[in-house]
Amino acid sequence: MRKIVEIHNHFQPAKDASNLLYTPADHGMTYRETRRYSFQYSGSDSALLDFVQSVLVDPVSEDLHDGPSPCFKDYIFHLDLMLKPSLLDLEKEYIRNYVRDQAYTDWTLDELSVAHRYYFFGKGDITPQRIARDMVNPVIHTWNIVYGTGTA
Amino acid sequence: MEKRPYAILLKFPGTNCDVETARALETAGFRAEIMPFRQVVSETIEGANMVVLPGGFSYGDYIMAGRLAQLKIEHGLSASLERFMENGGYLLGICNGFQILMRMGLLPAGSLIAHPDGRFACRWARLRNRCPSHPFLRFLPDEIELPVAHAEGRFVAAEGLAESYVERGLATLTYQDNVNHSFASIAGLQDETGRVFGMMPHPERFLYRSQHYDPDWVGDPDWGWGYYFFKSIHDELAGLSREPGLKTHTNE
Repeated sequence: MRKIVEIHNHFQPAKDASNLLYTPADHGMTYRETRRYSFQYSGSDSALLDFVQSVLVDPVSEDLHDGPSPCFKDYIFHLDLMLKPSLLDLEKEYIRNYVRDQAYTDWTLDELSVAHRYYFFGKGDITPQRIARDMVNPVIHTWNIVYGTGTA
Repeated sequence: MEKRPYAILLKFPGTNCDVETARALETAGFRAEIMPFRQVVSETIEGANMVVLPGGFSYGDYIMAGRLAQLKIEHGLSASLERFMENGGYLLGICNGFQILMRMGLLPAGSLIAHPDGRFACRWARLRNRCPSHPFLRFLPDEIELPVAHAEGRFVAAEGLAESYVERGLATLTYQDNVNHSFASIAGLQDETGRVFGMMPHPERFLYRSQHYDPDWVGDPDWGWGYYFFKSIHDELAGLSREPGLKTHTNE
């Protein structure tokens, strides 16, 4: 079975998207960042959700979005940034090691992928291509850009 | 028999302020020992007067700063840490250590999150000492300066809580010029017993007067505020009264 969750910090304001670029852009666009975990697992769905709530979510500052749909609406596009599968992803490894140490009996983790997702909002001259050029390191990253329903 | 208060510093993968902090503790009079977390056993903790979680990073600060260290402590040492606290032990968390203590729920509810501008703050911060009689702060004046160096040091909490911590005296240190947009400008917290103490600024980085950015700084002829921070808790644990010759400091 597969479960996708997305976590975002509700205290974090939308930030100026031009800060993500190497070269100047106008300041009309903003972005929000989330962490997105995709679990391939066997066993109890609620037990996995308990794990996510207790280990991956900060109960004070973060909200959990359960499911594959984006956790924000009206974005222009979003970028998913992941390490290439052949590279050592320490966040993934720490989580896998933790799950292994805990020896959960009601669910088992078969595969995990971790992505950082950036949602872009508003009007401006920042295109997905420009974002990818400046944020993605093609040697180590895989990435994905998806257009949303917002209007630029 | 060794009479100096004994402090152990827990070192996680990524902890990088342990040596400076141990040196600051030793300078203040402690016997200090750095212990890699994997080597720590119950007896190690229970034999100490103070357990210190130094600054740096822990397990790459993946997921969120301090989360993985919190989980490791809770699953390996929570019982012995509980006994340590029941027996009157002191627990100090600096920077990443503060983040770990917050995640463990040993300090008033809240969280330390990334700064709104997304940047790492490495600078000096002016602080207000809100608990001048506190065992960690009693040798310090009402206003001090200490270095800060963090990306996830913005204190946040549910509505109204941060202000209540200030009113109730649980906020021990506040920023004078809120460098990271913390709620109620909180830079340090204590628990209800006063024996669990967490702070984002680094007292170990201002041990000597010469470490101050201003060569003409006149706060003290020899020492920085960090020295008096560690000296305060040292004298508390050593059962010493306030040094008679110690003056009230100002930086006028």
